[in-house]
Amino acid sequence: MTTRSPSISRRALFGGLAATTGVLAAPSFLRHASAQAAYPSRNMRVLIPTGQGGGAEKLARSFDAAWSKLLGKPFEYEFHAAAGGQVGYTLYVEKREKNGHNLLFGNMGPEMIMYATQKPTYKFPQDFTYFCRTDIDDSCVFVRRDSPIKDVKALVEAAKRRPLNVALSRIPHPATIGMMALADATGAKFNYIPYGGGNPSFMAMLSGETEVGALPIANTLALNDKFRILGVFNETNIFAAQTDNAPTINGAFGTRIPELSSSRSWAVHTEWADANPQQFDLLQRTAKEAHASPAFREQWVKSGNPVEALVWGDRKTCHDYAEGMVKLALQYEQQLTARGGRK
Amino acid sequence: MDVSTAQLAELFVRSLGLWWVILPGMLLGTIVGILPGFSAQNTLIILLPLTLYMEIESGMAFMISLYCTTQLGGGIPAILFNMPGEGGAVATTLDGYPMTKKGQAQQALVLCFAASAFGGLVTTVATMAALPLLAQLGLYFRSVEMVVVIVFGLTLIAAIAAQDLMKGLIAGFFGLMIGTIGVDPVFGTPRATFGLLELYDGVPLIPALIGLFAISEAFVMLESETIVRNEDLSKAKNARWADTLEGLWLTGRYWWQTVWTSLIGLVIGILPGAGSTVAAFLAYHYSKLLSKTPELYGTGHPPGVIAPESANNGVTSGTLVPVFALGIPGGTTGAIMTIVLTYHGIVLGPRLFIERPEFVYSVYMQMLVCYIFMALMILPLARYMSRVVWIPTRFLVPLILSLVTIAAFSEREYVFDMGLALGFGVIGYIARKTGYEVTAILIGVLMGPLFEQYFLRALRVGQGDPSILFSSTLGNVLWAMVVLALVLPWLRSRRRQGVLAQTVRAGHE
Amino acid sequence: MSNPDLEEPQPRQALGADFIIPALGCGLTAYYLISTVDLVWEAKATGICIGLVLLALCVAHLVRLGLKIRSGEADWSTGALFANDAFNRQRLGLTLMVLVYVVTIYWVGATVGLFLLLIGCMRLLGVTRLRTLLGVSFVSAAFVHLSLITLLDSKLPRGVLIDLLSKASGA
Repeated sequence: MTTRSPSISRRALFGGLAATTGVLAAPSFLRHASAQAAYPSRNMRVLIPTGQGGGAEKLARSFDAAWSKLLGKPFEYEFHAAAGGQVGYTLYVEKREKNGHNLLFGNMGPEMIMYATQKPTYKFPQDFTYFCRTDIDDSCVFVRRDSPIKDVKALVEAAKRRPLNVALSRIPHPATIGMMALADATGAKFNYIPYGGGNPSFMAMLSGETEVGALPIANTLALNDKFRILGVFNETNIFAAQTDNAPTINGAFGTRIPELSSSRSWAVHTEWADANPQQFDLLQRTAKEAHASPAFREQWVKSGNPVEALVWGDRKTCHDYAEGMVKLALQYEQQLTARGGRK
Repeated sequence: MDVSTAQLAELFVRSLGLWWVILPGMLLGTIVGILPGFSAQNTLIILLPLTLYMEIESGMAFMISLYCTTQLGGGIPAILFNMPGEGGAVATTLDGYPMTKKGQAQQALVLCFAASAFGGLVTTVATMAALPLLAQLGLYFRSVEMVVVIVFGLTLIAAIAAQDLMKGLIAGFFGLMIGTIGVDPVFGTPRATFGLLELYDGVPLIPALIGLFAISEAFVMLESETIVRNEDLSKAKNARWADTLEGLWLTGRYWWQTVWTSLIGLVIGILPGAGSTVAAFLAYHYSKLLSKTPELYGTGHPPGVIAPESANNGVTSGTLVPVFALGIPGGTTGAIMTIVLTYHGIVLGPRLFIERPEFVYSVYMQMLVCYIFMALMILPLARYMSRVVWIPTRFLVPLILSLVTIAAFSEREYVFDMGLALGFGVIGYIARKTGYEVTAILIGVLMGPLFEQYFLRALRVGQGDPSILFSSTLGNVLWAMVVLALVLPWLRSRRRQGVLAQTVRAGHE
Repeated sequence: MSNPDLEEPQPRQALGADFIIPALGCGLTAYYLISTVDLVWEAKATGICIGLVLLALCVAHLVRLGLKIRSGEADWSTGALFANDAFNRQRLGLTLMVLVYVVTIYWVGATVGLFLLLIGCMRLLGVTRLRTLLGVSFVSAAFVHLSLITLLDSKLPRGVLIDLLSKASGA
């Protein structure tokens, strides 16, 4: 632990306090004064449609460490996690000014599933457009290190004998669809228990309330000493080294389950992007630069996350991914919504 | 994990050296605590850019002191105006405000501050002594056990409604029904939201709390010239330091109460998803249940202030236990602190205890120092703050009404919430005037969603078999306590009536 | 039962207002049951169970009240709750003023609105001294503006006036 002289720290504090007061007070004093200046002319306000302290916030803040320097403006965050992101997206589309200073940082996978199943009032891609994918976080299936289930085949065998309890973040989630597809393909029986987020799901696994977990891989890897990853829902397992060469589900069973990942991306109002091509271009260019910058990657790794997950994608990649997720969700719609007809 | 006494002493001295962040944190925490609508979480999020920029040690000291003092601050308006500043202080109103009305605001504030500080000290020391062991506690409370904990909290409705059980139950179930508004916890489909996006996440606690307590109280308050009854006002104005010290003496008298209720807070703090409001209610409930004079609760009884206040400060020590021990935060405050810790490259979980045990202890030492500073400011703060209630209601009512309406906006930044608070204010006022307990309504609003979440989860875990609810030993012990909580007051009253009846009969004979 | 002939006439209990909270509860339950009719059982089970208990409690309570009214112990009047007295007029006035403040906040702005709201409320409660009215309102509104809007950059609506002033100073 580093130590420091209190007197120096105090001086730093008082200087810092003055600076902070300035920074905090600046937005409202300076906002209008500089309204006509070049883009961006004021702080970037980011709406995150998930809760504080989750993977999205960690990633956004790591990214902002590089991007805010390139844009020359600090980022401010607000969180609207309700209804699987529906509230956050609706607020963003309907209540936030379409001026390029309001961004959304969303998790395209689960949020497009929610979009497909809940039929909200906003429309994709007419109302907002994803333009910078930051990562691919494959869904994985895992057990506790001390579990008698040692591999994915044993898991399916056990689940054929009796339904296994699976800890999930939410029902409308790529990992859930993965487990449903695996059950369909192999005849295994899983009992899906949504815990509302990664952290409570991990706790359920540690307490033994559930025998299996199905979540995005990045956060699961951070708890590698507690959990064994049995399989990955993608064509390749990019974390083979860290997961004792866990196979892909398709590889193990010869199935054709589509790639099921969470994939976060920055988004902006489509209307603004179409009306301001030069400014939108600046936003896309700087985002790509930030993604490639060491500052972002170092900060991400420092937070205990794997750098391999950081895979950039442009507007078209994001668009294709989002559309694909909508199609997949519609395929499983009956099981993913309370209005699914399972009476 | 071993840290020697000398190292602990060194950490203590170093934490004292962080006074320059602890004191501003405490000041801000007190203000945030006093204002309903401003929670520790929201403030920590707003200040995150600052804390990420600070060195990890000072950043943590700042966040922890802010967080701990918020709990203390929340009790101040609860006692003075029947207006809890934080969810954790709702239970404090039950006995704190009646004390104020009796002209004992000073004593009540000292009780609140002393219970907060000493409760916090006790749990901080307990956590430092048994951290790895405590970390295991969260693993024993699974969905089934949490269902029982919440049911136990719900039985408080019956206890509060002792005067008119039927009305109390109607109020409680009305609150529970309000709590079912919003998306369902399994599929995320909206229910009974009147088509309002603002209700998708359920009825927000802060506007409900502001309406049911602060606004409705302001409507009642305007009937008198001052909050304190006229005959008690002169007593309050003539209060001396001796009266301030009386509060301290009372805390000393009930020291054991402070210790065990703070430990309830510690346990609840460790469990994911419960939080300080549940802890304070449970502590109040237990305190009343085990008291020899349960009938005094609700009339301005000192243990009724001590129990919730020491419990909600006990929660603060528990919050960080799963963060450090498992790397998994149990609630929002823990999650924000996790962001700061991981941003600075601190690897959480068991490795932290092996690689940097002194870091864990330094954080708890900062908490300890914060509580020591808190203990020092008890008397002057209570003495001068209590004078606010002398202000005539023709000023207080407009100020409370307008400021709490703005406060209702602050949590989620929806103008809708201001209107919602006013709506709850009108409901709260009608409820008060017609004998339906507003606390019972709020307990329903608060615990309804928690109950549904854990209940549905438990049923899913049991694969549809309801006997899962009685499948664990710990759960069954807790169920027995729930039954006891319902039966004990009834048995007591029967016994008392029996004794009384015998005495009367003996008198006749 | 005591002999009514020997009792002095007791004032009847006004129980009309007692029906309000149960009525709200029943209304909410009915809306919940209707609006969740197409959902799967799991998504609405808790609400239905709670709602049914609430309905049963309300019915039992209403029967109890009804019997009291029928026996003449009580009547349907709402007693002091809606009486046309000074306190109730003040409460109504305060409620309406806060409501107007909330409804007009986008145009008037949080700060200017607060200033006016405080003046209105204090005046209604009997504060007449102009200097006091203006002073307390100004200090409170300025405190809210400086702390929440300026320092914490809260999204409280600024209102047309402040926006125009800001634009003017910006230009």
